Amino acid sequence: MSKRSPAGRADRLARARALAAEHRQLQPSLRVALREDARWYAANRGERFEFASRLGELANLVRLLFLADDFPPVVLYRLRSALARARVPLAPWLLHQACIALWNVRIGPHVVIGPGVYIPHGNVVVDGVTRIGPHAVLAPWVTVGCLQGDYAGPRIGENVFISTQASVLGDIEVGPHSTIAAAAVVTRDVPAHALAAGVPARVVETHVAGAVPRASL
Amino acid sequence: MNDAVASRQPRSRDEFLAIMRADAAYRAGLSALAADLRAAARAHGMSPGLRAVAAPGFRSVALYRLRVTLARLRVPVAPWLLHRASMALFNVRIGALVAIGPGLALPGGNVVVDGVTRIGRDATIGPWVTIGLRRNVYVGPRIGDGVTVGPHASVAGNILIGDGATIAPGAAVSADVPAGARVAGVPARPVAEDDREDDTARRRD
Repeated sequence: MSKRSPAGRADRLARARALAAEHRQLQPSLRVALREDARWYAANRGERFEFASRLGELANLVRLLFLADDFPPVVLYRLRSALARARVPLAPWLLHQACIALWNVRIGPHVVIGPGVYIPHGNVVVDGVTRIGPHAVLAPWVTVGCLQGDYAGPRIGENVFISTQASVLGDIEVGPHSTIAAAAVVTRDVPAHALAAGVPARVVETHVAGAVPRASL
Repeated sequence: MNDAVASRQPRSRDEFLAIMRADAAYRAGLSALAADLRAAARAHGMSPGLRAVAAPGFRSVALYRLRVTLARLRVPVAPWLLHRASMALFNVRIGALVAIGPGLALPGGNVVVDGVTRIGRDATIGPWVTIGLRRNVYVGPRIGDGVTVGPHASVAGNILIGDGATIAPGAAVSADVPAGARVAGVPARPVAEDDREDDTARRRD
């Protein structure tokens, strides 16, 4: 917990600003993100996700827009971050409001989500200066964000599964390929390949690399 | 996952389809509306009259029953539209493979039920509840009759919840619950019957 050692409010603000500047460089491009999101959704739904042509990939994306309940908010979120990067006025705000009203998906402006995120049932809050790696799964009623008095949120590695009702809060690192169990409250670092559970969350199991069952991709 | 739950996993596609077909018999359509109205009235603490029909706890269930009936009649598009409407209006998301018996009450909306999941008669499900799947397990819970699920609870994986069980608010259930038991906590454990506080289903007269 060294990162939350007694730093003043000014220090915490400076750290959050530095992280936010870093994040602006990390945002995936619209095309890469949408391509991987569609593949990751199809893989998690147990459907075909490899396509020989661009046209096949596009068809899959359009199909998911109608058949997957919560693919549209991810697409709207990607459009919104692309438009915000291009400094288009108003439109990002409108897309954000649509995500909130229709799918209850609230993703803050300083959040970076790597290409490929699966939100099976909406109802997700991600805020703060937060980073989520590629191939994440965010179950419903999940909160990923910051603790009171600090804007720095978690940095979550690739292929992390955050189960329903879980909260991941504060300036912490969650290692790649880890799983956060249902209703866990995570406020400390989680190592790679770990299963964290409970309130407050403790590491219950650690899997050897590759032993965690997952959608193949 | 304990051995009993693991042994219940379908080993083949045929076993999986057999579970789906068995569930379909429990899936109630519009014929369940009267029972649903009584359940909603009980959950909202009102008599089953016009006011209960207007209660959101009943309208979301009615929308779901209509969707089930239309899907059974193989009407195109309409079930999809009703599902999206239920998501947007009540934040109630019930998957296409879920089977729910008559007498369902969702007094606070905001419910996610998914997977090959079965819920018996007279269930009361509070808001911010997830009933469904565990990572890479596609068969969800089998829930008995007269079960109450408190707000913020989650019930995940291929587990059995016995008749008349109560899941306390905020509980995370991932193991079998015997009939009539009350479970609470993360992970959920049985608690004594006599320290039960107000249930979401308790009638407010």
